[in-house]
Amino acid sequence: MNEPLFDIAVAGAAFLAGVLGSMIGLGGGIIITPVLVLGFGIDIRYAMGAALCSVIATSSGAAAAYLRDGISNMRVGMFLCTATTVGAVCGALVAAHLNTSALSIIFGGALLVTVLLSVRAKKEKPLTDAESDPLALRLRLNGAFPTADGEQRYGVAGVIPGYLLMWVAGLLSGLLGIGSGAFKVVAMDQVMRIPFKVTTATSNFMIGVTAAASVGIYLKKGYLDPALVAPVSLGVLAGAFLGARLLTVVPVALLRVVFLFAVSIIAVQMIARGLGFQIG
Amino acid sequence: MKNFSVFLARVMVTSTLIAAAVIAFGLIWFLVTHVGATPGDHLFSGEPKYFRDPLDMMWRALDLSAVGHRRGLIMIGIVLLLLGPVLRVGLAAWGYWTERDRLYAGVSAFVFIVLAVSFFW
Repeated sequence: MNEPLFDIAVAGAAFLAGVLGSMIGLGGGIIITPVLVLGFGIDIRYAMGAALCSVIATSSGAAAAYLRDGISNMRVGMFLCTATTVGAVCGALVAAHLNTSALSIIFGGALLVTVLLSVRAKKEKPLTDAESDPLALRLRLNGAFPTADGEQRYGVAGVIPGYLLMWVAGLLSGLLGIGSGAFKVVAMDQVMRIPFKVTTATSNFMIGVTAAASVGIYLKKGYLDPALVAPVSLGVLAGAFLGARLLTVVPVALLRVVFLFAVSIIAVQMIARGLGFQIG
Repeated sequence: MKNFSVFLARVMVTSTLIAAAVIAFGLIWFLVTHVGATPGDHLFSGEPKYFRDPLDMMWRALDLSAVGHRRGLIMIGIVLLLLGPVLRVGLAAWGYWTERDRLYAGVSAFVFIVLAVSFFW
């Protein structure tokens, strides 16, 4: 395959990853990396670099739409970014010194835990101010989002455990070149009990900022190949615009099913790769 | 805050679109000059020095004698894309400051510093 055809195929795959990624708050990076490695035979380090750039594009495209609609919680996002960015810098710095097989297994295992946590969850009512973490009140994290029946207020629980999980999410982002949206969503949805819609929107805002913290280090390590980053980030960006528009049409319950399905496939894939099996 | 969110959303879209336009232009230029080339992403060798240092990249892209190295222009677009979140966080810090929200101005400033350090280390 020659360069133009190759780039068009990569851009097409990136477009689909962008649609899915922005709709479920995954950021697309976690989808596009296995596709680039398994489907296109690209070196994992270039794939990680391109995925991380695409993650920034996705986040910027979709997060802008959420921000305008008032669904994102800026204070929660910025507060938790202090944890994710520090984690991301740590992750990017240790990435070169760790065995990738072991990392794949750990990551796959962590993703399976994510799925189990999400399956266990019941649809709960948003927390009231009285039910929220006193720390959330002091940090003014509680918010509201627009619904068809007017504003829906919500509280925030588990600030400290959520914050620590966010540091781990940032670490994984830097370590594996992903947005780690799945971990951010779990930390906010399950631990901090923030409504899923707000979680997805806020995670999109955070993903780009988190990815930016490790991408500077990737750049200096030479992981960014312009000829690969360009089609991947343009494809994902176009997909993200479509995904953000579909989100208002697709029901949240279906979104969750798609989300869990995608995460479990990737988890198994990661573990298999770490153990040395070839898939696809 | 509502108006500021709308402003921030506009900045995000604009900065991303400018970056995307530069990348798209650079990619087309690159592909036109590399029609018969074989993709070289299978083996990792690390990118050359001039693609690892933002300042080197800038000079390289502006060096018109280096025809055939149009990847440099893509790199400029990529750096613009990456600076988007940094700009966004900086603007949020400023926005909170003008609202006299010291806590969140500080929180945003902290994130901004972490990003700046990771870029210019």
